[in-house]
Amino acid sequence: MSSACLNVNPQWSPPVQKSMRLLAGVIDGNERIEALPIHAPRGGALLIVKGTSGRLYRIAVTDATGTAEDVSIVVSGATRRTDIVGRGGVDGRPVANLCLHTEADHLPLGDRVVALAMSLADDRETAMRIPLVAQFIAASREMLVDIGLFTDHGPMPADPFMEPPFDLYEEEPEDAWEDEALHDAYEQFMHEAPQDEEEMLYLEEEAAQMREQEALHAHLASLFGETTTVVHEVEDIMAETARPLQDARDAIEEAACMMQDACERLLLAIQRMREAFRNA
Amino acid sequence: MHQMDVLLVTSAAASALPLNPELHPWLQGTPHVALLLVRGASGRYYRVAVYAEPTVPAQHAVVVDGATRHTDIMEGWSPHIVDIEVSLDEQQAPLPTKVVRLVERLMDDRMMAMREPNIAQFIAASRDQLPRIVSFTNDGPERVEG
Repeated sequence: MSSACLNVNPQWSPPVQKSMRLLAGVIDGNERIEALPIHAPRGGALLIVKGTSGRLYRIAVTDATGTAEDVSIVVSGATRRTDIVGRGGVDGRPVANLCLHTEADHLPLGDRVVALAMSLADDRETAMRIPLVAQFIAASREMLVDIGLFTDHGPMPADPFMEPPFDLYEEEPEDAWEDEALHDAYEQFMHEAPQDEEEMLYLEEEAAQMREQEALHAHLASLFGETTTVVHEVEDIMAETARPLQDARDAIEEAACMMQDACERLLLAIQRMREAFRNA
Repeated sequence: MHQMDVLLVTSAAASALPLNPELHPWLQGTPHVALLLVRGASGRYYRVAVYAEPTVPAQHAVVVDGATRHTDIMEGWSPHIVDIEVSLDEQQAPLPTKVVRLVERLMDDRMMAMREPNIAQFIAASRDQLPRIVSFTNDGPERVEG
């Protein structure tokens, strides 16, 4: 998807439209930012940003009035793309909203979204200035299920009637590293892998998803091949069946003609018999 | 401190390092009481050093350093090691109890990060960022001057 997915309202003022063109240019020039299709008749945008930490952010921009003056910008984050794409709410899922607001509210809409997206694309650096981004990066996927919102005052629960989610988690099992071979393998991985742990996990998940998709495609292809073979066989059978049917139809038509001739002859004979009877 | 060591070595995520200056040259001349290595749930490493205050009897200081790699944290000094400001809970408790609680919190550092933003910032920082940071304080990262 690309900047073509942006919904720019032609009723917006020229500066706003110009800023949206800037946003489109940034999307097209930055592989960490992509736009997804969104149904927003009054204008808006749905962006997915992949941070340097490997975390994914969704920026949903919607205009309530169509004038670009009452615009809501909602930022939510997740560890996996499948958690964040194509879904709205955060309840019960490993997705949390981030209470982020730009300092440049006076700027046109597109400029604000660009600033936000670029900040999230370099989220490790942003985290050094904004602690709530750091807390989002530090939270595990399991923790995000119970966290609804990251604020300046800390994480807030997804359910407002719940206690803060700090004490809801059990500690990591202490025997997690009792298997020495597993521990050694992990140490080797930690020291040899130059990439970030989250990035590696993300890549592994993506690779697993791609393998699943390839297997599904192969399965579908085999099913399609089998279906095509069956269709050809049915066509052959129909062709073979059609020929006797045509022969039968021809025979019936011929028989009908013969019966019609016989009837005509019979009528003629009856007529002659009547005339003969009358003459007699 | 003996009780603390016995408790900690039962966990594979935390261990006491030998106070041997030959193994750890930076210990030379420093009045360490205990040196502990902790691996957090995030994969980050923490070095908890308990010092005896030479001027004040029975007073100790606890210093926590952090790094992203085991090889970094095992070095005495490295640009990839940063100081981390932490608070000890239960001020009235004995020092070993305080240190044990601290180590337990560091072992579950992702959860600790939800309460203490500077821990979150340390977890969020990449290894490449650490040389530009001196310490993670409660007021944010303290950066290298210049």
